[in-house]
Amino acid sequence: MAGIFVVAKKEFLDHVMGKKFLAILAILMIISLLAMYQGVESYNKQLDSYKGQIAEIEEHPEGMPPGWMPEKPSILFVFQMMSALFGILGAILAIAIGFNLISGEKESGSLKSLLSHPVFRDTIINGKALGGMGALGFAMLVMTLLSIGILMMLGIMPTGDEFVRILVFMGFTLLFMFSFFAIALMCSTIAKNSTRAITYTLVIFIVISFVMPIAGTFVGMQLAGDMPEFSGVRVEIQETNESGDISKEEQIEEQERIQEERQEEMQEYWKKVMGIQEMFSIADPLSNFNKVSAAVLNPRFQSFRGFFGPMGEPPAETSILEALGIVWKNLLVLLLFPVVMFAIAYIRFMRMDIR
Amino acid sequence: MALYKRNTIKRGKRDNQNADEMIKTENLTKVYNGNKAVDNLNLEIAEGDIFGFLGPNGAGKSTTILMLVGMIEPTDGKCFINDLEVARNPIKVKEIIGYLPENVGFYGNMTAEQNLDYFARFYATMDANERKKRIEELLELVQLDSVSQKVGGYSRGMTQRLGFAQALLNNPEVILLDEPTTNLDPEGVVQLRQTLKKLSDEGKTIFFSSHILAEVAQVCNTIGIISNGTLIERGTLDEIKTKLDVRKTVKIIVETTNEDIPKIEHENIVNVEYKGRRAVIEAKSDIREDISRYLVENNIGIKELRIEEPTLEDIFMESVYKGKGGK
Ligand SMILES: Nc1ncnc2c1ncn2[C@@H]1O[C@H](COP(=O)(O)OP(=O)(O)O)[C@@H](O)[C@H]1O
Ligand SMILES: [Mg+2]
Repeated sequence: MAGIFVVAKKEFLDHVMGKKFLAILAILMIISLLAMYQGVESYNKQLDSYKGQIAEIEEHPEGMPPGWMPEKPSILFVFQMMSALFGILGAILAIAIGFNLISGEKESGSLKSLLSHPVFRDTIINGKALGGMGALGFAMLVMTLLSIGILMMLGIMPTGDEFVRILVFMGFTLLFMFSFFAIALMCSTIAKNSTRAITYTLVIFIVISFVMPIAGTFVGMQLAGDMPEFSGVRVEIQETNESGDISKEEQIEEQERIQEERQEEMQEYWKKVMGIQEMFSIADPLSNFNKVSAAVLNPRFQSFRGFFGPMGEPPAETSILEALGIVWKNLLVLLLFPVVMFAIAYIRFMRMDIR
Repeated sequence: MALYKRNTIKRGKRDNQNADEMIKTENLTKVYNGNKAVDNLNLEIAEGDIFGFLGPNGAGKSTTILMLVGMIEPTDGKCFINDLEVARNPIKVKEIIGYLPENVGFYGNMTAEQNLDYFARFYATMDANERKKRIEELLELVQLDSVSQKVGGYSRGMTQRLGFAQALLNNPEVILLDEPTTNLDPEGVVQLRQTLKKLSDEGKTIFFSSHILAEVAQVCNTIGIISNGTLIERGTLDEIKTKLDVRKTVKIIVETTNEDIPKIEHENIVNVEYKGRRAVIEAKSDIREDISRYLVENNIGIKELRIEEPTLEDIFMESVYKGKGGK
């Protein structure tokens, strides 16, 4: 049992002191610095206009529509802007540190040296997984401290709820990175050499995160039947309708009814397409991560185009727990994905011939 | 010297009660894509032996050793080290063996000391002090004690020496070496030989694989020859030499200075191959004097006239390729 920490510690140090890790972490830091700077700038603009609106209401309460209140901008907006980029770069970091964990040791011959000493194979692969996840955790910790530090330096203090959401978002980013780390580790165990391992990893990444969702939309549109015609142009209402038994009002009503029907048809159609598309991206960590981070980072989150969630609820404040409740299936996938990938790597590594 | 202090082997529960066999294989077989890399191999190596495992490239030596140390799974059969079945007791076995793989490798980003310390941490019996002491001793033994460079910058020969140190880390009872002289300079080979002799004197069992008979003949007291995955000879060094040395003829090489060699006749000649000014004569005895006289009488200048001794290598190759080796 002590062996696993011996392996994990070595792996962790190898990662966090390695050039690859530091270079990608540096890029991640620079990019998020820039993104935060931009994000904070537009946050400040929104905040100014919000303050202006509030001041106006106080001065002329009678001039505003009743019940209307301007929306206070949230600093989470900054993270929303960053989240997609963050996810992709996180995936790249995870792949970079994972793809040669086993294949590299096979190539250098160190695996045989290591395994000739009294250490169980599962100790090695578990230790490697632990060390790699530790390194990714370390990267996320650095990123979290950095981003919160920047906010504070710029004089922005997140509220308690925002703070929690930022931390939860960072946690899910980490979970998302584990998915790609696990894919890379699995490929590293299965492939003959590191070149193949990185190739397999990237192919899997591209297929599940890009090809499948696009293919899903395509297949969905094929299967959902003809797209309902969308008539944006209203039929001219005939002003001079003396002989007809349909009044102008009735005509308008009829128009509106058709319009509504069309909209419903359209919604039905897209619901079908999205349903099929969802099936194609059900195992895609990126889609699920985007979905989960949208839920965490948007206090008014609702699952319009939800993967699994109910449709078209009226917008209202959702607590973070409610939001997570809506996306629990996506969360489950994010949790299960690395477990399954790791299980494949584990089973394979336990029995494989090492020569 | 503490380095070679004899361990008393803890003979606990054994999978296979037997006299003093330290290494044993039973019908050991490994099949790759329908080809038998190791074919029903039955080996027994006694405690304290230096066993030379000899065979040409691709004979199945590495495959056998890899199964003996649990790196690869036999398709069929079993291996025992000190009567422990390898597949069932991987950790117990690894506690008493040392293994130098073919093309041994290390972590290039760490020094020799760090590499060895990492491996040593898996031995519950070694604390930090013991590890440090042991590693110092071993690095001195393989003359890497003054090298502070990371292993990534080592030459193949240095890596090989570190590999040997690595194999001795736990002061093992059984030492398995897969072509250990590869990449070593002549001095390194001599040192390896001396160290192995010393280790053997302390009762360690040594399994030494090689494709060079002369090398095995230098250090080993028993030999097994493997070809195409099967054991074709097994015995002491002398037994093997007599068994293999079946050739009763000598080979004489003749080369003249100016003219083509005329037809040579002699009652002892078995066969002659003429190639212009050169001839290879196979005869029942050393007839160089007769040949020389004959050529001089015919006014032919002699550039070369020598006997070609069959090397152990020749004998070995002949037996492996022309004789029993081919299946
Ligand atoms: N991974 C493998 N896949 C298929 N065949 C292999 C593999 N490894 C070794 N072999 C075959 O097994 C045979 C024995 O190889 P090996 O044990 O390495 O020989 P040696 O060590 O005696 O040179 C060779 O014919 C080799 O081609
Ligand atoms: Mg070999």
